[in-house]
Amino acid sequence: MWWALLLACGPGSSGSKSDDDGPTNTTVTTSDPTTTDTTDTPPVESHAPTTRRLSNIELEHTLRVVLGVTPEALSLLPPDSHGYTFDRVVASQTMSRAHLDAAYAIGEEAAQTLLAQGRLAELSSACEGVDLPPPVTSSTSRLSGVELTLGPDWSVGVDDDDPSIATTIYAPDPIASASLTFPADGTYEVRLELVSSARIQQLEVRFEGDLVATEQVDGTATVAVEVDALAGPGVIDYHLITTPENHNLAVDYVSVEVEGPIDTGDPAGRRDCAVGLVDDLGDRLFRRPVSNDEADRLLGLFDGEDGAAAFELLLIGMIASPHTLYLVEVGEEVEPGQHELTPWEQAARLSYALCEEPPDAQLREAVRDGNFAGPDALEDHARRLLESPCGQRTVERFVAQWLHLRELDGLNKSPDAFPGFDQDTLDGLMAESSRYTYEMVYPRQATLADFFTSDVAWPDPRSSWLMGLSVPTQEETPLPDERRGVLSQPSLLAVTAGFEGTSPVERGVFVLEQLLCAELPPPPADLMVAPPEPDPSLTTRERWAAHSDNPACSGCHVLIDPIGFSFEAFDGVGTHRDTENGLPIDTSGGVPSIGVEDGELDGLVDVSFALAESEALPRCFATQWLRSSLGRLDDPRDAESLATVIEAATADPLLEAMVAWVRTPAFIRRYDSLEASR
Amino acid sequence: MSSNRRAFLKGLGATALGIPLVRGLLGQAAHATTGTAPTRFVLLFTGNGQLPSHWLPSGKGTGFGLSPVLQPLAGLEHKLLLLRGFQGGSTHSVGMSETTTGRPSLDGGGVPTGGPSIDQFFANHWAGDTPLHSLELGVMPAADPYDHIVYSESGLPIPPVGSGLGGFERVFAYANEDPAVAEARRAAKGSVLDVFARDLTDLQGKLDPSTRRLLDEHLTLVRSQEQELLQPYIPVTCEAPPTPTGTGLVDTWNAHNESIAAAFRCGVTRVATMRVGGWGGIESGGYDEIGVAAGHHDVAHGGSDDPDGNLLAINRFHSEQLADLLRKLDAVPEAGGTLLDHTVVVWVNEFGLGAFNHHSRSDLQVVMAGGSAVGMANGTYREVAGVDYAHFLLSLTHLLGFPATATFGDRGTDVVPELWA
Repeated sequence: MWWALLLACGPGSSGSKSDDDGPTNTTVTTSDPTTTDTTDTPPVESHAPTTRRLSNIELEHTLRVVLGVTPEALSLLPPDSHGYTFDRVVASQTMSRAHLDAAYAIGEEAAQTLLAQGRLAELSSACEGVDLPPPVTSSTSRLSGVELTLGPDWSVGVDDDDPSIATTIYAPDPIASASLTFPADGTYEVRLELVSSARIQQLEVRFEGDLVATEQVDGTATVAVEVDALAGPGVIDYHLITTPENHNLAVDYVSVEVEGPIDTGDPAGRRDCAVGLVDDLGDRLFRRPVSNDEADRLLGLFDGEDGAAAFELLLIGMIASPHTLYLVEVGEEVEPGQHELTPWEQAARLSYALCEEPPDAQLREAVRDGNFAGPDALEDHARRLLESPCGQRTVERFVAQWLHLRELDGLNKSPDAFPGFDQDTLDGLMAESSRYTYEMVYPRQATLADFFTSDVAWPDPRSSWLMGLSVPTQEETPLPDERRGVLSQPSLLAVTAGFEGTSPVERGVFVLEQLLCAELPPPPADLMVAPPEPDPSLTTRERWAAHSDNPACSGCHVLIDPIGFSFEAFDGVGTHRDTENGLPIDTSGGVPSIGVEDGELDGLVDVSFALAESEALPRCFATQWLRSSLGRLDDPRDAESLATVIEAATADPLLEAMVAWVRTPAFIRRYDSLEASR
Repeated sequence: MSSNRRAFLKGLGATALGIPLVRGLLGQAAHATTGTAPTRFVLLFTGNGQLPSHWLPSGKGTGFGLSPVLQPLAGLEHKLLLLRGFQGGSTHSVGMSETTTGRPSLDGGGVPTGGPSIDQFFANHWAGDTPLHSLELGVMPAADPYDHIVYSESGLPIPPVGSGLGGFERVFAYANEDPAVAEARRAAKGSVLDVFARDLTDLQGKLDPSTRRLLDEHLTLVRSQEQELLQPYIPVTCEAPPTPTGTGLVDTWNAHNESIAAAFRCGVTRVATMRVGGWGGIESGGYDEIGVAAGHHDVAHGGSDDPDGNLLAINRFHSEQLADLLRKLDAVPEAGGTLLDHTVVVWVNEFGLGAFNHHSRSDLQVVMAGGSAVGMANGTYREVAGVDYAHFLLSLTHLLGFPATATFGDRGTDVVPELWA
């Protein structure tokens, strides 16, 4: 972060060897891109606000909401990086052939599904009533005469010369029946080839019981009918109505052929459908009206193919388009390097930020009617979206990413160190942490401070034992005295601990990086970084004493360890303990980076309250929320916008703080890189 | 425009040329002249260094004996080249990017200042020879910026496929296609990519270059694929190994080895990389199948002298898996030798030989295998006391057929003779 508590810690002047060949981790200065000293600051380019891809989840939601399909090919997308905590921060996004191939495969599968299910009319009214091409290419299958069911039984035989030909002799009103299989819904031609020894005045053809034709047959004949069939089995019956003149009738049944599905055509209607798809579907996929040039190119794809392939290519051209895959924002330049987004772009940004979905009907209507301009309109929609199911889901995902609770999924703990901690327990922890987020943010309208100091939780029956509680169902439950707020949840304590035990460094770093937005340099280049060996005669705190003793370590660790040590009354799965290895646990600590010195606090609850009362916590929340919502890292131009959100986060409910930023410049603008803007 | 293009492409089918072109053992040898078989490249990355007592072979030169970690490679000694002593330029997470790109990261975050990684150097030079540009595989990989080893020319990371089935499908998407269907699909795709290229070009004009990093890469890749689609379609016929079903550690790695061998022998690609774990290696619980409960990073740092033998077990397991790959490659007869003889395999590590817990890029060790068809030394163990690791990467480019390469990465300029027989 440009404003970050870039902690002036490092190996100091003694103890460590310096490695001539590499960059040494010296005292790191505030990452201010406006200075010329760039030795230890990240290159500006890597943090530039580039156009971002939709996250994999956002793309999945987009396809589901707009097309009603969820292609399996979505699994081909490489997983999103959480390099900056959230899954959609452009600084950690990449683009590769695998992404390209996945997007194309997704487009193909979605297009084929839509065509096979005949759903184009849902996507554009211009496709209603249009005879669309069959989704599969035409093929012909054949049954030979002996594969038909003939009657009456006593008259049935086989031709002497050709055993594939079945015959009926002397039968009045013979019947032949063919069990057919149709590869897809569509129109088919069914052809019966037969040889009759006499003229038949009336041959009735029925398909699935319905009369489709009445023919006259003379000698050798092919009786062809067109039927509309559904994919799967279908029966066609041929009933020869005989007269007294036919008493010697002999009929040879040679074969029944089925050809199709047949394209019955409608070029004009189909082109109108294609144009309609570009207008209606294209607009929704691109989140703005498709331009004339774009439309021409897309229709060029349609015009260059025949039949179903024409529609398939058109659909792929829209679904796999960069305009669908990326959150494209151009806007209009209002200041050097600063561009104000168009209403469509603002609607898309808002909708993806708060719902991870494209703009809904209400948003689209507001933009079309010109009612989507100005902070009030933005705020109204922001509230509406946050209150909706998709908004609640996004808020829950934001918290799960921000506080690393997403790591519960697949968390591994030593069964020896933590017997009883099983998949059931994990499922319970996941349920109780998402419930906590929902209950606090929505019904209780909690502030940021409340979130970290609340005296209630909603423990799940499967995991409440970790808190020393036993609950029959998930309901509001007062917390025991030693626990307050989200940091005391076993879920959070478990994800900030190791496989076999606690790691004060891990918890300390978590608080510093995730809650205070401090940027910590890596350990010194040549230092032997050895976590202390397990020692049953010492507590964790005592084992880690080297950090405070060794000057090569202490520079940074005086900021980290006092936080982590105050959590030590909770073990690696969040169970409270008074002793470790039979020894009493010293939970004194502090948060020196916010001015609370080591020794001023005692235990987790103290730390939670200190954080809740700090200025750094709302400041960091605002940064993280902006990072997640805008999908980029912040820079000095966000100062004013951040200040607005920070103020709200300090005093108002979290929901208000989440809404507050839509009124700020950061929301309605996009920036070029700082360098390019000068 | 697009229909003209399609007609043009349809006319370029193999049958139109009257020559039935088939891939398989006879891939195109565009650059490395090795008889009739092209040279392939595999890079395996595992981290956290090695203890000298675990890794160092006994003896020297051609009379070496395999160490405890390398013991699973028994029977393959005559095709190995063991090297120790390279000197890397930076440490800790920075070292990973330098191991493959020859460029350290600026901020200790593991992201290099630019690309390409050595595998992509080869893939880019051989572009168009094979339907799949390169194969990136991983065993329990991760996706954060410091977890990557493969980088494009522009310095963007290229992520690996983590599942055995996913790797298999990536290879066999390009094999055993109905030629008529494949040609129609390629022609259609070319038309669609053309639309994307135009859209992106228009968009570039509206955005400052500083904001277009991903879009620019997207356009580069679209254009590259369009070029490939302009080439005549050459069907790949490839006998597939069984479709992978297991998702555990061993099943996944075995499946990946099968996919690499199949991809090489069938001409689907010439370049493959395998990343084991993310930054820090496979985490706790990942090595359960080999009886190690802790993660690689913890084991490499968590005590002294490996009291439980976990570090040795983990690295021996890595050797076993490498041996499995080498045997699969060696089992394919090719151009008077085997596929392994025509493949240069390198097993690299961002840390070198050192005392327990060390984080040093001094005394880096590399295990190489194969490559005899391009003159690589085989059956020997050599020390390169203090040679800059960047020169090793540069030397690889010369070994695989690019002797005119002057520099690789930031400072790889010298040829290391120890790589040659």
